[in-house]
Amino acid sequence: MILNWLTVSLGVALVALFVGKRAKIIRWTLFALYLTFLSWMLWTTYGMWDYRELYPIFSLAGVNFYLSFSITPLRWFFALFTTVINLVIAIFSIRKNLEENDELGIGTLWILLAASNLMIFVANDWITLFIAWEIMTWTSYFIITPGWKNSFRAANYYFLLSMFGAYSMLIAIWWMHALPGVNSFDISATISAVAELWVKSPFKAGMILALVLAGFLSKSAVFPFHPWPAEAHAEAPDDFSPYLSGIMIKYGLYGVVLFVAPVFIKIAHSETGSTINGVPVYSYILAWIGAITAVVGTYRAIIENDMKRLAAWSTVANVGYIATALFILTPLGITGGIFHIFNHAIFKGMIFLALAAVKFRTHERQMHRLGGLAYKMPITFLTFLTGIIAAAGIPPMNGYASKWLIYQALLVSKFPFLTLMIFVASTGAFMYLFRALHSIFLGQLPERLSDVKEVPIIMQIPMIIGILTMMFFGVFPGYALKPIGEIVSSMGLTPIRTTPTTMFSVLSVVDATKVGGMFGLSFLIAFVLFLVGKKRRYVDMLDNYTAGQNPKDFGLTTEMYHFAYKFYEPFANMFSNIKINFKKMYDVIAKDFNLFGEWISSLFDSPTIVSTMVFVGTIVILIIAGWSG
Amino acid sequence: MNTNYALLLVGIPLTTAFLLPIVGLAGKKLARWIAFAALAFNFVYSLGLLLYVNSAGPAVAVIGNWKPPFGINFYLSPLSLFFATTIYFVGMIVALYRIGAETIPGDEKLSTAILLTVMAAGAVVLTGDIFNMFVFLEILSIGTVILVASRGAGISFRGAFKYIVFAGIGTGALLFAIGFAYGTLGTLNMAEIGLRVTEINFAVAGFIALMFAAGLLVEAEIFPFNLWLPDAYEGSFAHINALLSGVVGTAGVYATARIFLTLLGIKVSDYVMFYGKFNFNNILIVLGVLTVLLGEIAALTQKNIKKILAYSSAAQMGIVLFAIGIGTHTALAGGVFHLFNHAVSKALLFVAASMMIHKAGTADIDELAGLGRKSRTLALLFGVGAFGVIGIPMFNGFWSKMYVVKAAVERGGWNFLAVAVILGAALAEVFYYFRILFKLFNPVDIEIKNRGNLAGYLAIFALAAVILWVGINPSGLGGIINSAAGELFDKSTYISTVLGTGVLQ
Repeated sequence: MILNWLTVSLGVALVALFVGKRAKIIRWTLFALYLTFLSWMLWTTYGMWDYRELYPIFSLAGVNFYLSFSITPLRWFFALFTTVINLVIAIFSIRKNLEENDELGIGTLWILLAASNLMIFVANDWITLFIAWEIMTWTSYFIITPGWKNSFRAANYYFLLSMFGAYSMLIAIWWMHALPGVNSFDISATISAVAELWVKSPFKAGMILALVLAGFLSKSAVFPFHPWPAEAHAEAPDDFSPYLSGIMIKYGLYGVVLFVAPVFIKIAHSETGSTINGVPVYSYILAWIGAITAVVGTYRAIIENDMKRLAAWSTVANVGYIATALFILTPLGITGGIFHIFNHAIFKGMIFLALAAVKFRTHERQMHRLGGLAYKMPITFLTFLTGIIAAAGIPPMNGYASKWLIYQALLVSKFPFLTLMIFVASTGAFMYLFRALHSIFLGQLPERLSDVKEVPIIMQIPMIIGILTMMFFGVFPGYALKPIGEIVSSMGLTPIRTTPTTMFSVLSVVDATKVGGMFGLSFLIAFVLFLVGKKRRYVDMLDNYTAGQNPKDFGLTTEMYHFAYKFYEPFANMFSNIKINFKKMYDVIAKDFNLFGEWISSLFDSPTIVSTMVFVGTIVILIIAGWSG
Repeated sequence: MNTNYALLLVGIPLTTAFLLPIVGLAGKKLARWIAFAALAFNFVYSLGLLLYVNSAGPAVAVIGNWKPPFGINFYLSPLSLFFATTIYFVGMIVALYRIGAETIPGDEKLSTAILLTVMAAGAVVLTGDIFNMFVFLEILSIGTVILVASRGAGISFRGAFKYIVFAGIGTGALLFAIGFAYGTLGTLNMAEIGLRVTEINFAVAGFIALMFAAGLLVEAEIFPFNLWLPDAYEGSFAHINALLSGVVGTAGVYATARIFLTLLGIKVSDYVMFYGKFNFNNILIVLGVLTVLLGEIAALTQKNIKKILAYSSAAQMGIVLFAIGIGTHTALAGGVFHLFNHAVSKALLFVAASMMIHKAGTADIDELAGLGRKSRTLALLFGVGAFGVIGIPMFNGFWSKMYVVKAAVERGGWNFLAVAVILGAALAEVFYYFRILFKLFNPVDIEIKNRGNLAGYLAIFALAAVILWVGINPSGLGGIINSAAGELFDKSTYISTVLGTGVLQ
């Protein structure tokens, strides 16, 4: 069944490849239809938790390779919500790509990527996962850079870090395969094998976990792999950025929930080795790495001027929260982490869609060159506004519910300093989110942009769907928490108690509907006050900034009214002494590699007499080395 | 089936090769067709033999009715025929490409050289006599020199000269080794040497092994014996490079494996090759890892597409040598499989590169930018070859590299570090292949100087089909590779088949 869904993608991709440049709309409609098909099929598989598929592919020298798929609560939930979000983005893409030149390759590869996305989530063994993982990596690489120079430089950080991670994972896969009693690639078998190995040799088990984590965390841009999203998310095609930032960055976190967290939970239960508040030390360190990621991402987002880079850094920060929550390993932490993965996929998808809409009309990415678009693009503005409210964790949007759970998890497990880090990062989120809202949609509209229109209706539909979804899960978090509860209980933990509207924690109880209702009520009161208030005078947008003076006297043009450039310069100056830059570190490594390569090729290019001497010298050295003694 | 007809695999191309200059008087194109037909015959016939021995078990082709160990014999087993078939296949593909390509001065003589080279490489793989192997290696290196020099550019002569110096020293060392072995054991038959290798004292055996290494690793493109490589590859035509890498390199690595495992391996089923202070397992592993590392990093800085592929080809050979050095059944399966995959993928890459160079009139990857947008099929097929070499899942190289990694991780210890280095180097490899693909799809306008040829497209389509078939359905080759690796791992079958006795100490 699942294999058939995946093979369909090959057919769809072939059709998409051959409809050529003239029938763009057919290609992208096909893509949306394929995703509709996948979403519907996945929806119907709810509850088939014993479902398995097994196809032998290769068997040689005692190793059997299978393609195997299964459906469990975890796999079902991730596969479904990513496919549905991809569908929503695809609707946006239909119209957006009508005006693109390089959409042929992008569309074809994206169809394959969507299939590999499903394959990652339904994979039942490491080889299937690895195959899907690699397909996902190379297809997304060529979507990010279909020949464009800027995105090539950007995509390379993503690609090389991902491949580094994938190769680490490969070593770990074979290592686990060689562990006693495993001799297969089955994920659940390796979980118990690694947990057992921990008792005998924590170093080896730690190495395996480190190799696997290198694969997962490099994909999810956790510190120190954090530089790539700012490059790749920013330079990717605009409609691909929501997918990249909303869904693809979660693969690593999915891997953590799938493999790493169960291993740590087993280790914690076996009570070997030291734990901190019930969390194994390694897991605790990883939680701190998550917190560092959150703070670093937030700081970089604050000082960013490019709107897509800002959103990308915000993604890094959110990945940090999620990682911290997941590595706490309590039911609350895992629930909060998974719920935030889900919510972040929606709101960051919508934020990037709104940015794509802005860029679609203005072709600008630098925020100081934008401004005042709220009246020109109301739906886009509303989407962005809802998105940042959700991102900041303000009720009644969905981000609030998951952030509440994350804080509860940290507090219940008594990690005050981690809570503080997350709190700092979360407060910083207000700074950059408001700044983005202000610089793009509020303030003064530059005269260049005076004839900007709202995006076409097909591109508005996904954004409206997004707004409603964010509100829905903010007011009724229980509808998402129910399947997440099934995931948590399938991991052997007690799920937290929820009703559709209420979330229970040890410390407190919150009824999201009441909270949302309160906000609705206060909006209503403000609106009533607005209606009954004194009659007001409407002024021109540029009228209220000059306080009655003629700006021409100061040599100012209207373009310069909009205060957005170097918005947080004082804040940036506070931290300007910190010179640690991981992107530079990767650049230096690349440069050194190139120098080394030039040296080697100069050896190869040396005259015949020199290379002959090297050749003969090697033989002589080997002979002498064997002769002596 | 009378396996003695296997000698036609040498006879047909050899006769054709020397007829070609006469045929060339009638028409240069005709000479190409005849060369293609000879190699196609070789491919089909050796494929048939391969399928036969795969079901009926290994056989021996005896020359002049002199039974081994006295006469020269050809050993026909899944392993040797698998590589012979691969070699003939690559040769046939290059001949097919040449049918449509532009003629050059002295074209029919180049066809002669191609036939000689492919014939010699196939014979190196098939022969069961060590001196016979030496002779064919000499023919192979002379053929290669002609192939490299045939382009006639300054760099061609430099490359050819460098190669002939290396090959000369190498075959000299080989003659030393053979002389020592003959002097000690009094036989040139490979099976008998393999049987009685423990009679040689350790110091002499170590020296013999070292001399063999010096001779064979030149053809196998292993550092530091591969310093001839970039000049020779840059100097020759790109489609000729497919022969250098897919035919000469394959024969060289095969000969290395055969000599080190079957001839010089001490214990049955566990090829620890210790001779006094020499531990050849470790020497091969170190040389292999060095080749991979240096090759991949050097390729990173190159601009000439032929040189990039040349360094990459050396690096793949390093991976195979690494697998041979590990020496377990799994490792050998991975190595054998990878050698095959590399031959096919690299042939596709070189032939496609040749077509791209022909179209754009340059080999510089910066100047090839935008070609993929003009001729999409060509660029996509080049991509298939690149994916095959890199080892992207569902392409052939993936499965073989998986086995090499598995073998290294299983052996543990320093092999862990070695495989980490190899995978690190593979990062560089992925990067430079993807950079070529990226450049091909740059939105840059490029002037197409020449049109592509149908025969060339046919050739690369065939290669791409093999890559995808092996990648998606590797089990089709699984049986052959398993018995091939088993043959390398356990030499007793080889010896008992050739000598007709199962006696082993």
